[in-house]
Amino acid sequence: MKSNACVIEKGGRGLENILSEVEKVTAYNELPHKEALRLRLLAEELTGMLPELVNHFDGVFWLQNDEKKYELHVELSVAGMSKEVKDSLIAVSAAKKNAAATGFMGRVREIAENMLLRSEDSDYAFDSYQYMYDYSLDLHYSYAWSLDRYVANNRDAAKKDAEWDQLEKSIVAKLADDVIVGVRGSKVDIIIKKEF
Amino acid sequence: MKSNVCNIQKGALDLGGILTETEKVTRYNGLTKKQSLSLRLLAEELVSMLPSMVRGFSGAFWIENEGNDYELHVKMSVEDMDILTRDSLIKIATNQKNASAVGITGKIRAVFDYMALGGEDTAVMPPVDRYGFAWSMDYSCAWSLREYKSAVPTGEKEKWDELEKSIIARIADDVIVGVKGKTVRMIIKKSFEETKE
Repeated sequence: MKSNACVIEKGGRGLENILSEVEKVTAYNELPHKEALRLRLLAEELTGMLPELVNHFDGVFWLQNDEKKYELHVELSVAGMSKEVKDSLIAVSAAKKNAAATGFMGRVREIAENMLLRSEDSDYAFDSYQYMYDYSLDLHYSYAWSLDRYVANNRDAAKKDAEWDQLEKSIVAKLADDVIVGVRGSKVDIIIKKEF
Repeated sequence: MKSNVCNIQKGALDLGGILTETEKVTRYNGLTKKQSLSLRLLAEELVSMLPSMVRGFSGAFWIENEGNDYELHVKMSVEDMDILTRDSLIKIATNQKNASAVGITGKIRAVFDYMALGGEDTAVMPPVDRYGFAWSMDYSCAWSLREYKSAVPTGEKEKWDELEKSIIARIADDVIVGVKGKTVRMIIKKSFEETKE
């Protein structure tokens, strides 16, 4: 089934609808308490990341499931952003002054932002080499990052750095089967996957 | 929201999945008891109509809603219709005493069979009467219960009796049957009034 789509407005209005959609989906599928709780936790983590993203981009959230496979979707669009705003955002991210990009969800946010700002703009080619190791082959997207790939590539690596620490502390990284950030045209999808 | 899609196998008799899906949608949207009952009645009417429709084809069922506007969807592929099914449909359709086309559900069934044969592209005459055929962008040929209601002359007492006796005609806002290519669709529409908390 596919839930209603919630539009998330600038300033974070509409965020509370996300949790009520999760509850409706839980009721629809008669999920046991434990599974319902996990789905809600994933939704809360996702919600926590959104306010900053939707300050600059338009966002839509929905949930869908096929039997036991659940997916939380956020679709962000860069359409309608002025060149000035875009330039200033790129300047910030290029200067690595994006201090808020801490924690695992901060990283996901950073990747989404990078993809959005550099999508459909040849002046700022997406510096994909930075995430090359975590590249996920997905026909839906021109480029995609995947948690699953990231973990597979870094699990055995000698460098258990701060970033890996954050991953181990993250609720999403622990609970979710995969997190995918993919870009297609002027749109970026963030998908959290969980199979019960 | 859009519910799970139930596959309807050729010749299926067990259509209980449709009622289960209806109940899930009811829960999701927190419908009142009266609204749930209306939706369930419409689903039951559909379940009672379907077995004869799925004799020769397979298809899918789902429910959608946008706010208070609900739609029950049935989509059938007539791509792989075998010659025997086609023959029997033509036989039924050309029999002027089309015994199955009694009542409103019978009429909808007969329209569905007509659409399965290709709608206006066939040499077969439309079932029973011409009332209710509507123009639609989405289909090459379409029939609507609402159109039918507004087209039936007040003098046709028998037809008005049928309409008044029919559960589906009384509860649904509209029933649309249409064909495009090798796909026949039926949509039952129902809008609920805003509930006051």
